[in-house]
Amino acid sequence: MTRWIFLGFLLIVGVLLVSMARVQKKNDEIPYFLRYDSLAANANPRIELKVESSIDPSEEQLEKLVTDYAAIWAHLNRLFQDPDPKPSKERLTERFYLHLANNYVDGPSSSIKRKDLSHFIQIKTWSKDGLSCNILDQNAEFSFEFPDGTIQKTNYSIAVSLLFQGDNWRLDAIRFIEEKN
Amino acid sequence: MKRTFLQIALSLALLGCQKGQVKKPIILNPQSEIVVNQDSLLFEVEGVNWTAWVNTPVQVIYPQLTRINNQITLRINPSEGVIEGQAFLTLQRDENQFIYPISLKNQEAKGQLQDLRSPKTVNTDSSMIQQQVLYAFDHSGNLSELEEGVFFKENYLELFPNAGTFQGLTSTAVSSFYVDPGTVKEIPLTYSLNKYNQTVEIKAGPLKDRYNNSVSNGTLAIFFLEKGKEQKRIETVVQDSYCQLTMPLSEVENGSLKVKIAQVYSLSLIIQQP
Repeated sequence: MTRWIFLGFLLIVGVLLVSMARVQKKNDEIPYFLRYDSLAANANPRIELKVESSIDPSEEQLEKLVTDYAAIWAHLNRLFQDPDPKPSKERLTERFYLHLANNYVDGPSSSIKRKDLSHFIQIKTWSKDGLSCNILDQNAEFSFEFPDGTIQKTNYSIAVSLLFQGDNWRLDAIRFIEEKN
Repeated sequence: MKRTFLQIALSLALLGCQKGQVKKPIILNPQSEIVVNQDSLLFEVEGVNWTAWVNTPVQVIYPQLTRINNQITLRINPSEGVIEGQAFLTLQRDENQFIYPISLKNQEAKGQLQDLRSPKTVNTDSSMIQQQVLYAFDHSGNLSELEEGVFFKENYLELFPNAGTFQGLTSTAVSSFYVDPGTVKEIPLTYSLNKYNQTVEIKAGPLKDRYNNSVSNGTLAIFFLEKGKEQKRIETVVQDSYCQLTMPLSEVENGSLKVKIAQVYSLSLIIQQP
């Protein structure tokens, strides 16, 4: 009799362990520092830069800004086609990401492709602590590739507000001021 | 004859298998600018199974599509508005896609001002000048003009030397900044005897900076005691504008005592019984 009680107890423990293991969510998300951002790595628009702020950023800071600005546009171009903001989380501030996440509805990818070809950015303000930067992209040149193979090139002037959070610059707010054709 | 008949029959069968060319939908209410969550676009279409999406300047979104007879109504209603600017509307049926350039705008909404301060913490010993960076945005993340054609502003503000935590123009946590008290201006030093316990309570304070702010809690204070050939150094910290020390009378009687905080020394005090 005792043997059966003991075996029954073992069975209950076994069932409990198995059900706990099934309930536990598997976290597949790779830590940020181990992730490879292929979009950022393949982004290579021409970027001209002019500092007009009262605080002069260092060469190193400017280099980082240029790299991150190209990466931000690579992610915005992906979002132009695919609505899921999650892969671009590290390039957007929490507030901006939330706007996109709240608008996100799963659906087909768009057939129009956008690519940024060049930028001419003027740094308007640079904070003393190097954590905030506001820029005017006076001549952002984009190419739109339509499904019939036609390509349209369009230039915009864009105001962009960036915040340095974590390891990189992130988009906090943006304004497409005008289309220049 | 038989062969020709077969060829015709085959050609007709092939034509029947091919999907017909879909006629481009005609926009019935062309608009120079579409206000999201407000305006609708009407199209005259042929056939069923139409789908649509909009490439806004930042994210592709899917409009609400309703079809009545040969007319479809498109309503762009993202919950958080859109990044305004040039967009492309695509209407698709089967393999046929029709693209319409459109211009998107949000409904009028109250903007939010961002007031960033740098440095966040100012010490009254240093310059009281602080950089203020201002920009504003709407509920969707579109930058708004602060003045006509001006999206960013930068000011240099001279702060009052009153220690504390303050909030910028926007009264948000992000705009908060701090004024820390500076170095003590002078160190008043007193002592009192406890005859019952035969101890001496030595007290330095109130400790204030040059703007009468209380010196920060936790500031290091060093007591130097000299009695005959014996020298002692005792470290303590400031708490509520004071730092104090209790010593046996026998150890300090007729001894000389002074306190140092940062580079400031108090006057020497000789401890004697009354």
